[in-house]
Amino acid sequence: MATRIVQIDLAKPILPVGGLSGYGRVWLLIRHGRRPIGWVKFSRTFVGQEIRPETICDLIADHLVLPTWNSLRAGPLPAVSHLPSASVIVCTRDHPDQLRRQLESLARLEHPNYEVVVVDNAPRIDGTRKVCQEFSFVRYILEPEPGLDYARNTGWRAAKNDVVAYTDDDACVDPFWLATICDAYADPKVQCVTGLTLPFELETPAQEYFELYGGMQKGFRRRVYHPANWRTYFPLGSGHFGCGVNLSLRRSFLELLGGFDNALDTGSLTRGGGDLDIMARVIQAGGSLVYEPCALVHHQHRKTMPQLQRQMFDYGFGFFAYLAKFAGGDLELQNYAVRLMKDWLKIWGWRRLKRNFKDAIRLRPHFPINLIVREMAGMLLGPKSYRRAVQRVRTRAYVRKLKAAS
Amino acid sequence: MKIQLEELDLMQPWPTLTLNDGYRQLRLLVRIGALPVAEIMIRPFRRTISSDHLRRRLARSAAWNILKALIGEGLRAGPESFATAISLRTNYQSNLQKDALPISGKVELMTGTDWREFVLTQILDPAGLHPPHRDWVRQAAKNDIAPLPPLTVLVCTRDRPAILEVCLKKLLDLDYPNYEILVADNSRNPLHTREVVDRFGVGYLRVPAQGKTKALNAAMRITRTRWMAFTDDDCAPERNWLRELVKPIRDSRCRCVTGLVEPALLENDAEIVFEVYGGLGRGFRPVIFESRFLRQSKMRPPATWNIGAGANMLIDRELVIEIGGYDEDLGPGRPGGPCEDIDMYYRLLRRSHSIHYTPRAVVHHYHRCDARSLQHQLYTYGLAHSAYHWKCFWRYRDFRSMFYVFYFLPKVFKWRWGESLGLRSRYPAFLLFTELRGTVAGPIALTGAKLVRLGRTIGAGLRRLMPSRIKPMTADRSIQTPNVVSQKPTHDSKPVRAA
Repeated sequence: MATRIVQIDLAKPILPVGGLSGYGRVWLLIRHGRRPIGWVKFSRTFVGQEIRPETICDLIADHLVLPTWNSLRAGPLPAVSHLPSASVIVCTRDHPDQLRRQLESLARLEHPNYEVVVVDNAPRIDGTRKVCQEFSFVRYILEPEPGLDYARNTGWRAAKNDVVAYTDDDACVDPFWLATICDAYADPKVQCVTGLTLPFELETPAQEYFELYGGMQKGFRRRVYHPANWRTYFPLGSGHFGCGVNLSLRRSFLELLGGFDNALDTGSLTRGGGDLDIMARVIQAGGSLVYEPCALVHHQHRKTMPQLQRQMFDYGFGFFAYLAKFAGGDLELQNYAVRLMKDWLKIWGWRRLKRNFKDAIRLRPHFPINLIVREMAGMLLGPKSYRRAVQRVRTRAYVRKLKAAS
Repeated sequence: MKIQLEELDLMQPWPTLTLNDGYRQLRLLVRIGALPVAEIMIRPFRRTISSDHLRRRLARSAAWNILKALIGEGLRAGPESFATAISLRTNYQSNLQKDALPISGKVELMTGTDWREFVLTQILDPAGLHPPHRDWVRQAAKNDIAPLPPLTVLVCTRDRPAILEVCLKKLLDLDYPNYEILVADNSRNPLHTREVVDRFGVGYLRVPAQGKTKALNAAMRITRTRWMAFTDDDCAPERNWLRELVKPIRDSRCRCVTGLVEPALLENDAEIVFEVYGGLGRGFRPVIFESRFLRQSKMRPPATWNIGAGANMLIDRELVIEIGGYDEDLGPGRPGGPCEDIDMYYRLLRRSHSIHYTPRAVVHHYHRCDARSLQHQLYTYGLAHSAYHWKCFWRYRDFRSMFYVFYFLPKVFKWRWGESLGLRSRYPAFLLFTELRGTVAGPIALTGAKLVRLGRTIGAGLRRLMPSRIKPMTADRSIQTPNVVSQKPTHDSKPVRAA
């Protein structure tokens, strides 16, 4: 059964929630103005056709006592003034309908001065250009080389402003997303800001399984990472920091880092890991990274099971390719990279497989085993691909140079 | 041994609590406005309990409940009141790093057990709640528009006119606009009861057949309103009881509401032992029970006895009649013992209706006050418990019940036996034997009743075949015409703002 996602804002009167027919579960996202507080999740059999406001109050008082008190004591988030101007970069490939939804949400951003750049990555159809022409504020750029990190690099090079915020075509952003991000850059040490990515909808089993896998949420607490706070594998376990759907950097710092690694992420031979790589390198180069839950993005997960199976394989593959990059690189991080590979395979792969197998034979709800197997297969195959991907990037650069010369 | 019962309203300035003569302990019901929040036992060193002692004691035992209740009231109060947070700031330290602001904006985060400190320093005040919180509670009460359907309050009684009088006095004093009271009289000698009922001028129904369920079913057949509230003759409801009890029926699936049952007196050992046994209270947290409650475990049957008690409930009469009324084998005065209410909960949940438990609707119950009747009560409770499980197994094919009776229940008895003998519990060990006797007798009584009924059916059949040979075994039990003297119910169900 599908899951209904509803936002409840405590700064507004709580209204009854209807339209529940066809859904098996309800997730209420409780927010207090701009600040998300937490989830209240329950089965629909609990409420019938309509959720009464009193029931919502009781549920919040039951499940989110401390977060609500904390939010209340913090007061509403102050309105920010003197925001730095920002560039929003949407990297897309052949998803014109989803892109239109994203651009509509970007048109509603509450920010005085921002530009939107759409990078069309090796398009096979002409839809993207047409969609961009519908929106006057959008700048359209074509990147012929396939690869998400190629598109990202083109994006920040074309950006006019210092704050570069990346998002994807299969998501839509909260109106306060950009303002919250820019607010975090008031601290000059902050070089990278990530945010909370919530599911846009949970209509199909594939989308529910992806949330069961962990989804893209990284919690409702603000966190600051900088090179001084040591922890195991730091900064390689950069899955904690955020994800590529909701990622922003300073353009100046990107220049310093030399941009994204073209050998990584979707469209390349390594199939993923580009966002993990840039976040880890920000920390490695001495910048701080802020995880800011108030910067909300709603991501539409893959709808069908085959897509999800492929995505799980790519996740394992890309993550280990990214670790392979560090295992062959900096001496300081070599050990961490190798240890993280071993431990991740052992804990996230093998133990999870065992636990889910037990649940499966006891007929309990569990994460599908074939997805775990696919992810583990990706983990095993991933590391070899990085070297080949680098070679391909070099070859392409060489070909491009030859073409430019001739 | 006597326990003094006191109430403390956190909204008002706290009164000085003093132990009366002859009391060693104090049982304090903590409330915020009308909402009961927690209950604490205090054994003070001196007669008078200082407000500081009380404050620390509340922070130790009731802090989490207070925090939860208050935020619930704040949410009900609406966004304008809710936004008025505390302007006072304490100086307690956050153990987090300075730069890692826990949530966006400047705030000291409550983590671990900091909330206890917060309740102690910011909420608990002998002068009453602080203004923003007080306003929350007042505003929440104002916002809560209650549905006010016409109601019938049914009191089943049996030979207890003195205590019925107390109950009726309280019932006539309720702040509900349109309700009628119906007393279903199951007495052997109806004279005194009839006299009391006539004095109060409330509805009266004589049910000569013995058993509470017989009385309930007969009363339900003659009632006109859709919703019926049940209470017992040994109960004293609070003034806002009905008003709070009907609030959950706004939920479309809710067909039954149960409420909190508090002891009215703890003056002698029998009453205290009943409270130690478990009493009738079901906690201070509003709960919605729905059909999933029945499917929680594959091994254990659902703990339907935690849903509520028949002494304080509201039920949809039409639905109950539709599903066949109460089971007349169960109930006080019937072979099955007093488990008719939990059987009804089980049947409602099986049909995917939901049952709401609301601690706001409070009824004070006068427990049995002598050892003999307590012992009889516990015997019937044990009997009813196993009879209920027997019925679940036999009638609804719920195999978990048998697993419970033969595996978990012996373990529970063994554990309670150890607790009693090891003086970790104040429950007398010999009463466990009483309960055990009841537990063994339950299925036998229930099966016996079925056999007797079977025999009667066969007998009636034979009598029809050979009317001259066989004489009827029982006296004529044809139902007398119910003699109802009732107030005219006023059926204007306009929603009225709660006071």
